[in-house]
Amino acid sequence: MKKRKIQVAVVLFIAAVTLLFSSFGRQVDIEERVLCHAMGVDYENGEYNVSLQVFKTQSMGSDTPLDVSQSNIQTVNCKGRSIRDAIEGCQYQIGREIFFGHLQIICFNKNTDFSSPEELFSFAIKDKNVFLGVELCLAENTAEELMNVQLTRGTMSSENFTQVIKMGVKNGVTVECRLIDLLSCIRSPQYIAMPVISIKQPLGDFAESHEEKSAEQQEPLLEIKKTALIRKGTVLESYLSHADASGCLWLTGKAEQYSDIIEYNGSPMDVRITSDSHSLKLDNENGRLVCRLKLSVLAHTSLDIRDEKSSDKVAALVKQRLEENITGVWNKAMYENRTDIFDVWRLFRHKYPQSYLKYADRLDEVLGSVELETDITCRVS
Amino acid sequence: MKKLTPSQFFAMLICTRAFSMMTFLPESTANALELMLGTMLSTAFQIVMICGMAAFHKRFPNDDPCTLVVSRSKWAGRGVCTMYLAYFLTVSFYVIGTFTYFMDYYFSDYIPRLMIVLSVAACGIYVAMSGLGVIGKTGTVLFVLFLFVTSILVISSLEDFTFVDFHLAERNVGKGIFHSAVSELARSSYLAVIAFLLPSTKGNAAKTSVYFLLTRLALVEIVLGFITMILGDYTLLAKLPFFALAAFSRTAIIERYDAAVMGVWVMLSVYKLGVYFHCSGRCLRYVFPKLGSGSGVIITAVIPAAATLFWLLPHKWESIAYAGLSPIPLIFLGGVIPLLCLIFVKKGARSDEKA
Repeated sequence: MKKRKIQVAVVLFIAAVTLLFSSFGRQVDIEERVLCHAMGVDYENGEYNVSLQVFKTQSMGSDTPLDVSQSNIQTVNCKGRSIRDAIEGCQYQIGREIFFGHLQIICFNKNTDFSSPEELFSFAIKDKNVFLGVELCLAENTAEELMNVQLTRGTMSSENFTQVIKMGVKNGVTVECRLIDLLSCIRSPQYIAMPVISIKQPLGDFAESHEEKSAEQQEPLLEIKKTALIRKGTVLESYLSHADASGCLWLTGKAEQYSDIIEYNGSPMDVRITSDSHSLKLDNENGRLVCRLKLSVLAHTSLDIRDEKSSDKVAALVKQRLEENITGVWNKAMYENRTDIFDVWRLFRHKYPQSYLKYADRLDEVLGSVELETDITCRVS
Repeated sequence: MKKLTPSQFFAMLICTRAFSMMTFLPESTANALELMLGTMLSTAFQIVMICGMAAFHKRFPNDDPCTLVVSRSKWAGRGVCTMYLAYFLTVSFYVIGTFTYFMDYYFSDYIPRLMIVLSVAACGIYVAMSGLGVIGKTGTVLFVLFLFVTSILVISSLEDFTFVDFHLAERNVGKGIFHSAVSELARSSYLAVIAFLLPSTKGNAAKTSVYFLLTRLALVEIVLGFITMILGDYTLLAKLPFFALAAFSRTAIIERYDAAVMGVWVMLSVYKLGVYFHCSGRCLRYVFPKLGSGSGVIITAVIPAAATLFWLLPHKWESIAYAGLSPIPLIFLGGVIPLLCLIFVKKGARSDEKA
């Protein structure tokens, strides 16, 4: 009985404490917050110019998630000595707290220094709400330009950005770069490939008048023409083409599919290549490091290939194309630019840890001497 | 007093360890593979300790070290009980402080630290006073919940699964593994609980404890492994790597599981506190037999709760969090004391009587 009384007293105490002390905390109302879904960062002359795309609630269309008559996007700009400093400036401008839990993409300009991701992304590391899978990309010109572009109506532009990147990765034209990819290598060599987004302006020289065109046809489009290479924090002048990016994805086992055109019997033929199996190993042959890629793919042709001889011919062509793409990107990244975007250094550290420790300060030299051997098997579907 | 079934005992131990797993703070020089190998080494050592406890339980099936020594010598008994009490109070102190620290980290603008301490301590008191039967049943439910959220994290991370990030590229591998084993042993406060609650468990409690150790080993290796594979060096930056992994996890239906994981973690915190308040309340009643069961629990809750405020209020908890516990008290309570009892305490009529 006494025990039951004490239990009841404890429960009442919990309830009282919860009610009484709830008024001591500072709560941020939903009206005091604004959702940021895309961020642009331009680094120039020692300053960061941050452009935030936020959801605008005051417009007429804010009652519905999709509104074809009103823009639900507002862009806020501010400069600061750090990104966090600039973000605080943006908060003062709009008079509300910015919530980064919905952040989907961060765009940078090419002047940004990625050598200290811990400092660069301190605003994200300290903010528990930022999703680690946020997409990262570079802007062809400035990130502010990308944030200000008016995209397809009815969608948030952040969705468009991420859709363009994900579609590009799926079709093998670029390599995905997420926030976690940078943060997971903070104490390790920094070799990164990052998509470069540019704005494709609509064509205007047609016979029909400008006013007769629909609103969608007048709007610009986003495209990924190339992929940037980042070595020890610096964006290099050399870029990966679509074919190079595809080779990188095949090499790292992240390729889903890739569409290409091969010359079959003198005519161009569309072929879609999908991944079947992938294996990448690092071996030591008499002091020579050899990276062995074993890849199995399926080729889906636009034409009907029925006989075995034609099938073998197509398979050989596809295999040749893949080998060209893979060895091309390997030479460009490893030999020409000394940028190990294929994570061969991780294989080296995993398999030969003592050698890795021995050559840790001369890793570029070691990786620059790694040879690539490919064993590609193609089956025509 | 109601006894725990083997499955309840197993679930209770997993839940107390799960809290430590979820609030694991890696050292800046931690290597994941060394941590995993150290955990295996520590498990082997703990199985040896369990064997000692099993031998104790076989000879004295109705006594724990406290009741046994108390029945032989009043002052020696009080000394042993005080040692167990001090350890349980210390663990309670760490649980309250860690819980408050991380709640403050996540919701600092909304909840004052004093309120968090009062709330969690009060909830722990309620759990402790509900009795061992309720504790056992609650543990079973929480164990299922914990397994569920861990499975979600594992399944959603399978896409990024690779062994390449496991390496031993360290200057002194042996020292690193040994250090990890010692740290893992220090986090294994359940060993004192096992020694204390053996007579309160039905069936072969020692066998259940070994199953628990092996299951715990598997869970820790899986969680450590996935945290390393997915987060890489970010593990060292994140305050709570387990939550960072949960925040990164996504399935086709739901994105970000950190809220669900946090809910389970809060429940595990209160549950673990309840278990340790129950144990420390019993110890206090062995030292002061005239104390009531409810009063004993409340006193042993107030002491660690009040003590945490000295570090939490001036924002100095990080110095405690990264310091961690020493394994020596645990080796003493879980290994040395039962061994000394086996050597020096003779079988007496009182200790051999069945309940």
